[in-house]
Amino acid sequence: MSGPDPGVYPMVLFEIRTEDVHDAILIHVHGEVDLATAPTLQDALRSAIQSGRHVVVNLAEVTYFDLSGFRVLVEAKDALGERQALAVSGSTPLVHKVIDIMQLGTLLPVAHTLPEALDLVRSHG
Amino acid sequence: MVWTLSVNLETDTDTLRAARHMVYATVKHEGLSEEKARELELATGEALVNARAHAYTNGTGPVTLDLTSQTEAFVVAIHNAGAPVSPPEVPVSLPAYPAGRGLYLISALVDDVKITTDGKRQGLSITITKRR
Repeated sequence: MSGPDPGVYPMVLFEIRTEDVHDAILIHVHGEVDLATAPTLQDALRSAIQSGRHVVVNLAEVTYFDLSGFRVLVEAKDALGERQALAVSGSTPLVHKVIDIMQLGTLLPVAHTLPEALDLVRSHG
Repeated sequence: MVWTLSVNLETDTDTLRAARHMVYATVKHEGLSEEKARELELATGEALVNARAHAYTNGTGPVTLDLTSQTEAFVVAIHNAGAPVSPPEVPVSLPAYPAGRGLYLISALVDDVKITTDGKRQGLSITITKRR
């Protein structure tokens, strides 16, 4: 008898790692963004925006992303300073679908890779 | 074979997460593709969040979830016992304001959405259908 597929639900349901790359803060999000975890992402975004630098949210390792995550991103965009940009990178099929349906690309730059997202925020006038 | 799995739950965030995990794992086990299973999980999650937000003033209350396996589709029916309200329309395009966005997202993720009231019971039912 085989055990449950360990890839279906990882042991870590949600984790955020922040990386500092001199002119930008990268927020790497792992796991599930929902009503319970979105406030942690919101806190990370607020601190990053307070730093005055550009912000990139890396969603490459995100397995669930609902409207509470979407709202946090839109709210963060509205809190940006004039010389700051916010971009989103990475798209698993589900995250890509949510971004598409909710037309997030009309509000924020969305890139497929982290380097592309960094280029986008750095090109911000 | 047609069968229905029924669960009674409270709309606290941990239970909502467990309920959508159960839907995902069950339909995946029944052969639905990873992509479609994730879409049905998200539609279920949004419907549960809607029940939490609109049916109960303090956010938690009882909800029943029925997952039915049919030959051609999976059907998730979620019923809340909140105050009686008339069923909202499912928006056909992305609403400019937050109200209705959850329903719009659900409708874009699945093949059919119906919101109904049942004269015998309080509250609203949402029925979402995802073809295999």
